[in-house]
Amino acid sequence: MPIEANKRICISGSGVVSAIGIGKEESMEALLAGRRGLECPRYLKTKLNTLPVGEVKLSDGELMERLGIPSTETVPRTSLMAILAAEEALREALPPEGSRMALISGTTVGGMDITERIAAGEPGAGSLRGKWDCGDCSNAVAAYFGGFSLVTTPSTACSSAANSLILGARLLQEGLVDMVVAGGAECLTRFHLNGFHSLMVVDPEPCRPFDASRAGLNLGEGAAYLVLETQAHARARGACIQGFLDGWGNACDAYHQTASSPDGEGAYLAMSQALRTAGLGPEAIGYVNAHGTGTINNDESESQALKRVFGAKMPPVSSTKGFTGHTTSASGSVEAVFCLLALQKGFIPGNPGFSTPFEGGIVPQRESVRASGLEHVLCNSFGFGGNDSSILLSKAL
Amino acid sequence: MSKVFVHSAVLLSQPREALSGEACCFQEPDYRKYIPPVQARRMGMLLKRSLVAAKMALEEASPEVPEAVLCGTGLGCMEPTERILAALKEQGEGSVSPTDFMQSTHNTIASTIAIHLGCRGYNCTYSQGEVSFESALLDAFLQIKAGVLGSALVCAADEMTDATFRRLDGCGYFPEGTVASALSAALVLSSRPEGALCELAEVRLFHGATPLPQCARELGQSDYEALYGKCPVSAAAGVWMAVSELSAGAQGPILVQKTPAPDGAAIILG
Repeated sequence: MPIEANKRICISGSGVVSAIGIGKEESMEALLAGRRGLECPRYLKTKLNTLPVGEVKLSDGELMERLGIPSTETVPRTSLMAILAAEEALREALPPEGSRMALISGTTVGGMDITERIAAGEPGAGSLRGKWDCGDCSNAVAAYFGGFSLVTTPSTACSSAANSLILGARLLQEGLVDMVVAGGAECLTRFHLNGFHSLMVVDPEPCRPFDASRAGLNLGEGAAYLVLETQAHARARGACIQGFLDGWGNACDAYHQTASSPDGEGAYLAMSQALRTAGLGPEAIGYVNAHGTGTINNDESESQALKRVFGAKMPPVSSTKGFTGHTTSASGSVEAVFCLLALQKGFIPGNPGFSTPFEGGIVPQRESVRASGLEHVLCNSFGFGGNDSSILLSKAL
Repeated sequence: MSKVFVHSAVLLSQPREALSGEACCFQEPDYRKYIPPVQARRMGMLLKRSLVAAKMALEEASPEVPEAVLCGTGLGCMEPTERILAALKEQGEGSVSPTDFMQSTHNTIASTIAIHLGCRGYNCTYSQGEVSFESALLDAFLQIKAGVLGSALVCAADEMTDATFRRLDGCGYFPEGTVASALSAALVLSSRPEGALCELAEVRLFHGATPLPQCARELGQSDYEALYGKCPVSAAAGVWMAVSELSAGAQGPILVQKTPAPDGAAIILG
């Protein structure tokens, strides 16, 4: 059922922080130039220091200095990156004074960087009292800006940020708030890197999504937010509309805790729902930003799902995780911002690391290319537990 | 616009100390009745108890599979998380158990429930401290009201291991007179009025103080925490109390409140 025009969800601001840059300008330059952000950890103190990671190239101290947060305060890295990304998005959207605002910020690891320092008994960490949980990370972002009347945190692993956008659209359509800042953030931690390593899904080389030789993901970090409001609200205040969030879908693969089903059922359902909410057919889609982690299992399953949705008429598909690494809980919004840039600036991001397709796999767009005429794009995010989400973004008129 | 009805409510709460008053004494359910022992052995306590609460709630409501599974957890699965942190400290990096990592993720509970039910519908988990359960409830409430969903299973889950208790106590989370508790709860919501225990009339979530609606019967945070103990998802016990009172014939509406700190909630049942 297509959305009525007044309740169409507009994007009036967007911001991103990842291994390929602080802000949209740097990110787009890197995407167009094919510059990958993967290297051995600089800031994360880990013994797994030969594994390439997609680290944001600022230390905690540098992030705090940039944000004007006194170095005496303790703020989880997840929140620091989140504030930086949300700041860019809010600077563009300029919400009017007195707006009813919601912050929906997905995360899973939350303040684990601080928790693991306490647990390891690091010098000075004993005084870091606090829960440092997911909600605390979102509340730290809300406290930095002020003015939010509703704050919540979806925590569905790697689809968290996509689910934030879906809830954001729902809150706006139900009229609960006037504007929503929705997205997600996640920092690198020893906990997370060791966890993925234990599942034997981390590639010791830079990742190669959809390639026959792919051997896993590279863990990344980052944050990104979109400012959402209804078309009626955006028009009434004369907001500059960057694009539309026209469709969304979430389904559970209900197959395995960490593995995806061979036929990609959950992913297929999520993409189909996103098309249905937008009232569009698959032929309308000009680009798909795949989840494409580079694990054997994901890329096989997602290829099947894409083939089921698009049949013989496959639009250009790419995974941008070869640029940023897998930014986990933030990936849904980081990649949504990349999709928005693709729509606004007219290009299709490439899929670094790909050279040879595997049997049954899709053939992604290798290099970033200029592309005019993109109208609608799909962005996939799949999480542990088969939590599959897909969102559909459209170009501003 | 559909109305939203509560078809069943199950509460499994386990306070760390005996609570005074009328608190129902927690009885461990017969897990074997709901989960094959081979599978149960691989599950942490929170996961096992929450899955059983979900299955009990569905059994009471009707045998159908819900259209969606939502869960709120303030802390997530602490048992496997603490084992990972201990392994990193004691054995160093590279010693993390994959099972612990899989089970440490907050959405393990909702996805395990979906796998057990074969439910491929909407699945979401919220972790917003004191209003984690309320966030999940709000999402389900809005979707049923808007006709997007016909039914939903909404769960609340938090555990209270010794280490979690000590850490929270160290932050002043348990003021004098409060008792820590582990809690798993499950509600079946539906747009279908037939066979409902009561109506879920309103769910409001807020950040900072806000004026609340007035109801003749109000269950404040201290009312339900005095009976079932304190943990981030304690309001699920308040909702369970309200559902029990209403289904026993009490006059509604009943307001269940969570005091803003800084997030608060108001849930009205009638």
